[in-house]
Amino acid sequence: MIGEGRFNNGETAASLSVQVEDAATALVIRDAADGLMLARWRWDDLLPADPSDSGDKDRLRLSCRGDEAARLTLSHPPQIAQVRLRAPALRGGRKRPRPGRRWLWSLPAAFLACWGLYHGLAWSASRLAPLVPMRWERALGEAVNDGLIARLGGACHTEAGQAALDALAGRLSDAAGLGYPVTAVVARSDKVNAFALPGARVVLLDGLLRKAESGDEVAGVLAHEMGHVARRHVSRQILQQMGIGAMALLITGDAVGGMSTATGSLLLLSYSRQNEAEADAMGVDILRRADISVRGFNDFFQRLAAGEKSSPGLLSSHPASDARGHYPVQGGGVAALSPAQWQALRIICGGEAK
Amino acid sequence: MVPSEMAAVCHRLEHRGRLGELAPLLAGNALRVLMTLGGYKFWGTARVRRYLWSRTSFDGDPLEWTGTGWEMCRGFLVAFLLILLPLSVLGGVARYLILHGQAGSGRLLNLGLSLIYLSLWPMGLYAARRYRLSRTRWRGIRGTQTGSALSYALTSLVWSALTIASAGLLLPLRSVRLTRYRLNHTVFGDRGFSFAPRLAPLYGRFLSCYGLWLVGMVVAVGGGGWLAVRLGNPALPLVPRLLHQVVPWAIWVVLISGALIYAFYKSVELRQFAAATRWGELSFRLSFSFRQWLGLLMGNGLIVFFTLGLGLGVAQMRRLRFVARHLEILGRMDFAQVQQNRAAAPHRGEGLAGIFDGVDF
Repeated sequence: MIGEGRFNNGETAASLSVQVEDAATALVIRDAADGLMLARWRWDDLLPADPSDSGDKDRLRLSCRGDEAARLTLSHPPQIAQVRLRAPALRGGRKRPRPGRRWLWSLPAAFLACWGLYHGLAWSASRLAPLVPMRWERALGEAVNDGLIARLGGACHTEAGQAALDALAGRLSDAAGLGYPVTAVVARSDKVNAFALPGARVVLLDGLLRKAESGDEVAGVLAHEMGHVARRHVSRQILQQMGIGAMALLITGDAVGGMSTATGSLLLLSYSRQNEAEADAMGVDILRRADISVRGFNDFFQRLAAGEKSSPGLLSSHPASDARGHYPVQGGGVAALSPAQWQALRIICGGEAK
Repeated sequence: MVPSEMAAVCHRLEHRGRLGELAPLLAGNALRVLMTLGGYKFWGTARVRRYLWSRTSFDGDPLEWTGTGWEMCRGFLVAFLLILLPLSVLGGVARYLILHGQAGSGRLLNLGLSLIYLSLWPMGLYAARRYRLSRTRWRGIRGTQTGSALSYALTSLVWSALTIASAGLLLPLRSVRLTRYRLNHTVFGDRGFSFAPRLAPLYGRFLSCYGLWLVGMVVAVGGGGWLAVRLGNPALPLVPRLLHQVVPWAIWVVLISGALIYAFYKSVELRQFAAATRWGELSFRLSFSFRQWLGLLMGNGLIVFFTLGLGLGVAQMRRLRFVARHLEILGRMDFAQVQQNRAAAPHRGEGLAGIFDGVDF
């Protein structure tokens, strides 16, 4: 005799009060009210109703192989111990490590996997980016660049200014040995910024031209942007975005969510900081090969740093400006722009010459 | 019958899930998903559901999840191969047509494809709900959902179009219509649910929310515009100044206030819908405050946002806990009269909804 329990016969939702007996090879379930036998379950066929049965001592829900809906619930520890001993499938519950132990192996392993994925993604994006044909980037550029430039205020154009810019861009791209032309334009915006757009295009903003104090400084920024182009950062960022989206899709199955999450954005920003640092180094290299003084590059970023209120850190897409303007200056070099060219470039968006 | 026997019996709905038990489960899942490049996802979902269901009990007996990872995997593969892949191919065909001079037929094809995609979401949700109900057991009895996913999807499309056309005024009607379809076709055992909301109180609340939002919007945008005119940069001409200084933050104000007011209306709607629902002799009552509801939504949003979606299980657990805490189930029900459900259960699970993901009933 095992004792009382509650039984669901799988035909109705009733919870019947039953008496449970041990009958040598099987468990017999009888209605508590009239003694009618409701079910006979062989000990070998007993299964826990909850597959992740944790060996609970206070409560046991049983089902029987072959009857998928009937359930027996026992709630007294001595009964439960007795039943667990007799039924092979219930003996001792599955060996479960205590929750504390599970943390021990799963969390560090998960961190390791994430670290591997982070660097793996960065590595594969930078390896694959140069393989993306420039034709494709140019096709993308044709679709988006005009819109981007229009949003920045539209391109500025004077004959002399554009000629000066083209000459400088040509000199730098020759020094970089790129093999394809890099076109540069100035956009009418007050902000101090510059961008590399798909298809080997560079946009400088008018605010940046006003902030700069010499042609060498502009050359420094232009060389930095050309560093982006040389290293195919535009394609690389697209691959990185796709990679993060794919990771998010794999992990969560959600095709839309990955990039819009905080983690996705933080990852992209950190990749972006790496790209910027690389463009700095590449830009300085281009300047040296074009025989332009690196002093302009340094001066510009130190002036920017003086104006920055706080260190950008994790939320920034760029390394801190004060860390960027410290490249060693070797030799003087030839000025990036002649005085006339510099003046022409300064007023490319209108305004008086200084 | 003696009056005391007529007194309502209060049933217990409890959820005993704990973060300390769930988090290692999720971490283990994440690791296995990464290592199998996503393949483990279905079994991981099944594990989480088994845990969450087993920790939810009604009148002392727990729910059981009897679905397996394989079913969901098969559902996903079927949906992917038979639906999404052909649609992507057709999308490629449309792009090809447009690029090669047949712009008219290309755009028509795109339009047709958009309509199909729009209807896939509600269809997938309905089919997923059917699967989930059929794999949920309580005291051995399982549920199901009758009705047709296709007609649900079409109803959803039509009513969404009507709602947009009416600038949102038909929103409560749409909600009622769709919920009624779902609930009237939801069956547990051999008893279906019934849904009979009272439209007047619902619309009353909706219209006051809508009106409040409109008034607030006009005040905010108008006030912002006036401020911009008075305090803005006098060098810029009027229209660009208004555009630059008013439009960006006006959009934020509109969106955030709209979202909050919509959440408020939804909480009202949920309570009224619960009161309008019956199963057998059981009636339901949800009583929570807007603040608690908002706390649930925002907490879940933050959790999912900051964990790249890995915390979805935690969001589900919080939702279950919320329902268990705030839902009262009343009524005298003779459970011996509820028979087992004999409807054919779907063989595959989730499919489309598994791709679009994230939404529970």
